[in-house]
Amino acid sequence: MKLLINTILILSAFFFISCNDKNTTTPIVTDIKSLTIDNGNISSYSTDAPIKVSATVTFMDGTTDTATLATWKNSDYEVMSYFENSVWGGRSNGGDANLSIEFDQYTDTIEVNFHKLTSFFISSDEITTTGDFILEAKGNFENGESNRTIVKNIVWTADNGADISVEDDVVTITIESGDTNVTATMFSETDSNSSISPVSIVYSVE
Amino acid sequence: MNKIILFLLLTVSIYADAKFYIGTSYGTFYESFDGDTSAYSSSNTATLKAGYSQRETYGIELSLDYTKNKSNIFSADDGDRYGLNVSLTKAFDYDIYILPFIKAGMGAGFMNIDRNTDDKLYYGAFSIGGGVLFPVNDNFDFEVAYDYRYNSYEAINMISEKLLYSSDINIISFGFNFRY
Repeated sequence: MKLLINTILILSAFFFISCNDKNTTTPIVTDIKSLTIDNGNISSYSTDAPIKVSATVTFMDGTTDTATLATWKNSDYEVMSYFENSVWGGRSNGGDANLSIEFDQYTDTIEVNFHKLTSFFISSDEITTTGDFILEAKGNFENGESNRTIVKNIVWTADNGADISVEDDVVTITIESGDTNVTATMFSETDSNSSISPVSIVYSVE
Repeated sequence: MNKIILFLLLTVSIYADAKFYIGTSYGTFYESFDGDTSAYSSSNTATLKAGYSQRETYGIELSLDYTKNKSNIFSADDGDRYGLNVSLTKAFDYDIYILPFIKAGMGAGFMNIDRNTDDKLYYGAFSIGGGVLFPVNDNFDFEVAYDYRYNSYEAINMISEKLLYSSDINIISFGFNFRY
């Protein structure tokens, strides 16, 4: 009896072993072919608004998708600032930097150049009444570009109790009665390399 | 302290007849992936086991699995898989020739793959199963078992997103155990 049961058992096991042969042979997950930065080399100005950068991953099956999980690397944070897929000029006032994206063995690099600011001036309209006004400055650059609106790397200060607020790189000042001295300082005051002297203007309101 | 000693004495008394055992089994392996993923893998799997149990009641078992892979699901050249599992068993002695048992456990392992960014894919698993022991004598028995495993694989980073896969695995195996 024992022998019979064991025999049936062994035969049953081999039956189950032999009856299954269903295999997927084409991978359900394609492999990665390349990772490239979409922008190409970038030429910009040291005070321009941030430039969006993006990268594309190409798969072996020819499809593509936006690379969101790779790591961006900035070769020089003095020359270039990077935050959330945007780059703009650093506090060194111009220069060259490399922007790379990396994931495992995949990498791509672009060169980013920022033209140096040589001089600037406050271009806001004359203010003659109390209230909210937008502050604006324009700059001239070493490549001959002139009167270009300054967006980044500018710090505004004012006296006479004027309130200055910044939202989406738009600077708004609330002017009170009296003389208000407004000063624009380019790059960091502590950065001796910028060699751009602050510029001031006085708004007089009765 | 006294309670701990008492508990240990009670445990020892319950398992006074327990024995260490080693064993091996060989079976068929069938895996189907969950959700909208239409993928299958079937092949044979071999297991080495070591445990401590009273054959007619409870036991704990550690097992090493080797599964010969015949499918290419995660890469164009998926390799073999290796797993380590631990499970608790409960056998039922009805004074008949055979000893039915159930078991539950968990495990982890990896399979070799050939992707440009990965050469191994790790997974975790929960398992439940059951079977029958056929005692030959006090030290030797044959075993037929069924295991269901829920496998969860580590995420595959595609740079654009992370892909997660899980699967259901059915294993029917035949083996033997030597107790001492």
